[in-house]
Amino acid sequence: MAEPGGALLAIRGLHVRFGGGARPLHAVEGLDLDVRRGEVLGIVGESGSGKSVSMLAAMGLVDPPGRVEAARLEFDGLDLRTLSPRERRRRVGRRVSMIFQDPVASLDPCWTVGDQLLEVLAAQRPQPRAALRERALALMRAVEIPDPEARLRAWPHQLSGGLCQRVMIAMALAGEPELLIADEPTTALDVTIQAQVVELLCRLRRERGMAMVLISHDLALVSGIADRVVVMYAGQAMEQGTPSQLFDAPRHPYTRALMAALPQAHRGRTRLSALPGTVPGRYDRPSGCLLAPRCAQAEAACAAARPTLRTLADGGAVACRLVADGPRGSP
Amino acid sequence: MGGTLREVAAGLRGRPAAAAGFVVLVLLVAVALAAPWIAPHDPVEQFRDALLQPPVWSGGSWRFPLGTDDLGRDVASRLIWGARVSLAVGLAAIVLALVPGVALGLVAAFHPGWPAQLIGRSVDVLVAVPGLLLAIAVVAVLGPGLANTVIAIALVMLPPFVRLVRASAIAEQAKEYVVASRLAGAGRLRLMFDTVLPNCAAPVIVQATLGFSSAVLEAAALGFLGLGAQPPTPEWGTMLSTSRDYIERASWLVTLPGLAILVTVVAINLLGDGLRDALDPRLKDHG
Amino acid sequence: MSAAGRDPTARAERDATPQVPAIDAVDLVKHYPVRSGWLRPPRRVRALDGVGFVLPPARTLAVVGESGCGKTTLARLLATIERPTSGTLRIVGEAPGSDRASAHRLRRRVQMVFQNPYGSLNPRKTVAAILDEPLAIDGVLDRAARRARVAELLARVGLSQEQAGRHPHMFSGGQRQRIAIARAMALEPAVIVADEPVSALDVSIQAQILNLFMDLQERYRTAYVFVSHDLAVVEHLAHDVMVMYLGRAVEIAPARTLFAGPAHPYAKALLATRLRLGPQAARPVVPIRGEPPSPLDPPGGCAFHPRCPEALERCRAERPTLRPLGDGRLVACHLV
Repeated sequence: MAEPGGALLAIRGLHVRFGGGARPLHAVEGLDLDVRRGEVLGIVGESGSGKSVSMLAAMGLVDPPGRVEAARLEFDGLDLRTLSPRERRRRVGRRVSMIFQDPVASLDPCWTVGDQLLEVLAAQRPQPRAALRERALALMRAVEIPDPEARLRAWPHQLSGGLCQRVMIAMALAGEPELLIADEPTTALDVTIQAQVVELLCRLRRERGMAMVLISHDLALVSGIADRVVVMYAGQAMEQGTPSQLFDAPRHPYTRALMAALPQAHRGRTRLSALPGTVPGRYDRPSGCLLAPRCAQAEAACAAARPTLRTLADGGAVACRLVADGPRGSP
Repeated sequence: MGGTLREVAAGLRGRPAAAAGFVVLVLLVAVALAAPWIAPHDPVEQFRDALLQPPVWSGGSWRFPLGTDDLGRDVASRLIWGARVSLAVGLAAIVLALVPGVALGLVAAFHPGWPAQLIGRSVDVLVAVPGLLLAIAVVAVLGPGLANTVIAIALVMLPPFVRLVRASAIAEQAKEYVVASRLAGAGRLRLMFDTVLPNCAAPVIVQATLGFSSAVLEAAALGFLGLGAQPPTPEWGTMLSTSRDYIERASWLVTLPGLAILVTVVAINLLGDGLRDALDPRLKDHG
Repeated sequence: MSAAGRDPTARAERDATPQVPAIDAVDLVKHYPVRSGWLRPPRRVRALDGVGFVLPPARTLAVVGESGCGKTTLARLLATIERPTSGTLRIVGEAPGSDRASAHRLRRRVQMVFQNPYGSLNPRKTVAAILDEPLAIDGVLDRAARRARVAELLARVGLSQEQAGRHPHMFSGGQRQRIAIARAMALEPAVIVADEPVSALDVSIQAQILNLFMDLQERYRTAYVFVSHDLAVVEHLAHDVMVMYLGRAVEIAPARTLFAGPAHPYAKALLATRLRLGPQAARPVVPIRGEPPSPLDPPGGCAFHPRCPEALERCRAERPTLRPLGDGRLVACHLV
């Protein structure tokens, strides 16, 4: 991997494990990731891929019995591994924000939307209530919430999913973060609302020059807005590249299988090519390549040693023995 | 049900307190069952020559290891036979509360109109009266004695079962597998007992276990008040009550039955707590 | 065709009379009363406000729409879990009656697969017991025959025999949906109503289950009503598509026709939000603003008019009815 000269978030060798004993659950294994300033990084994967857990771990949100280890975990040069929670809040808290999948559940049902928004704003910068209210209204207009004054008095259960997600985005933007991590922000929303929220996120990002990490299982969504995409499977990054590299000419067998399994890929009523089997669980994790048990092209050597992510000539990266194109850059 | 039993066993394995409670309870039951063989004497036989003998560790003899009472009856034998009475009363009361309680709870859940209202309000009335008072009232009407004690305690224990099962059943009814069973053609009876009830078993088991300890305590209380087991039947509460006057002279007559009650109730409660944790669906791994 | 003891007259009946539609629904309405306090009159949620269609045997009708459009209510009505407030429904020619014999017959005609693989199987029963239940209640087969049939059903959906003795929590989401599909097929229904059956599954598992649906339809000539919000899945699987909005059908068309170019503005908006694979060039322009209105308080006239970019005065006043457009589709819109 190239040295992260301009990386906002630099992760090397991230491991997240749950449970003890001889066979802990490897939620994330050996992940190397960079998020550069101002870029949109998409992390794509199915359940069990570790896409959410990796970002939660980076943000210090993984509690015991989870164990997080990383060779390197830096935000703008600041080593996150050694920070106490208070230090983290003070130094990183305003600069990184996160929004989650179920917006209605992310809001406390016992407080009005206004109370919660003002609380976040006050935590960023304490001010008299009137000033906070002005800031809150400005934020709500920025995220295109209609009739913001009324919405401030509303309770979370009175708002639709799309509106709640806009409120969450407003809260996330309160501190003017440099990095926004969006964990499946549109999955729980209706299709037309999804489109609105995606467009909103893109616009805000452009206006504020934020970097964004977009985690999703929806490849189409990610391909539309990401600058670079990481495909994860069973805790490991399998392929990295630009959307066109990944989606027009995927190299890793898993990425290819994922593309092939999409109904979009097949017009008309033909059988979808489906990857047989299931994601390895805690007790049947292969020692070699994680995909080998399900991969149609797997060879004996695949099951023997786990391939690591190799950078290729065009800047993409693949973790697969069978992909040609000699390695360039550090192994 | 097999699945639930397996869960129970697995749950106990990891929780030493609950396992200890279970072991103690098993021992108590064993002692109670083996009473005819292990009790040194007949519990009602009066040894006129050995009144108020202290236990063996404070000057008494091994003939009466735990001493004798004011009528010369062997305390150890009375405690052992008393275990039978207390455990049997507890068990009988719980069963008598559980069966109609579960049935009424299911009926209330599946018939939301006037049947649910009727059952609900009746249960509310029962709950409004403090437990012991209700038991006393029942016994006052029916007359003292063990059988009526059981009935009284069962009545007190009934409402929790009704409410628990009703709440559980209503929650389960909303789930899709119940709809699926309806689509498969299940009639109301099958839905109640075959589809939903097994999924409500966990809280019922916990309530039954903890209710058992309450029942033992209530039986002792009623006995203490003279409304439960009648003399000369050995029962721990009655033993406590009749020994009130001897608290200074022959304190073992008070402490030993009290200790028996204490140990039993603590053991059952530890077991019940452990079961509740073991069977709590929220603590389980889903999918 | 496999017939491990199963009454063959049902399928023979189906094959012999191909003209009888699998489902014939006319103007289905479902209102739920909602209490709004003691002093105010009860309001009604118009979950379904007049939906009708015909589903030929062995075809798939996809029902698409967003939350509040009534597609789940429709699914429940079609599966006879609930009764419509008004309207007629015939499943393979028979309308649901209120007696047990009628319910018995309908069970063999229509069954349902649910969205949530983790809630639709009884956690306390083994897979074998779950699959056996509809057969046991049906009463036609004896125990040995039922056992054989359960084995056959498991094989049909790609599960192994030894899994029959396990409980649902030991299976993954995809496997549970297979069990749910096997259960739905136990009585060989002519129609299966599937309410978002793959929405909760990962993409690669989704593909497996969609393939399974298609295989089963080919082999057993089952018709499907496939409720989904995922247009890609619908485009792949459906013969015909019904687009719903706020309890009404706004467009019903053969899938190919619809995806080539929808007629109704809402259908256009819905299709436009589909994110196509591929980089920036394909990013959609957000076509409609606002949120779907509440079924408690639907707008007058055309339900879509507040959000419709092409709404006319007429749209506010007059509710459009479904009319044929000549190319095999029906549209409810004043503009076409």
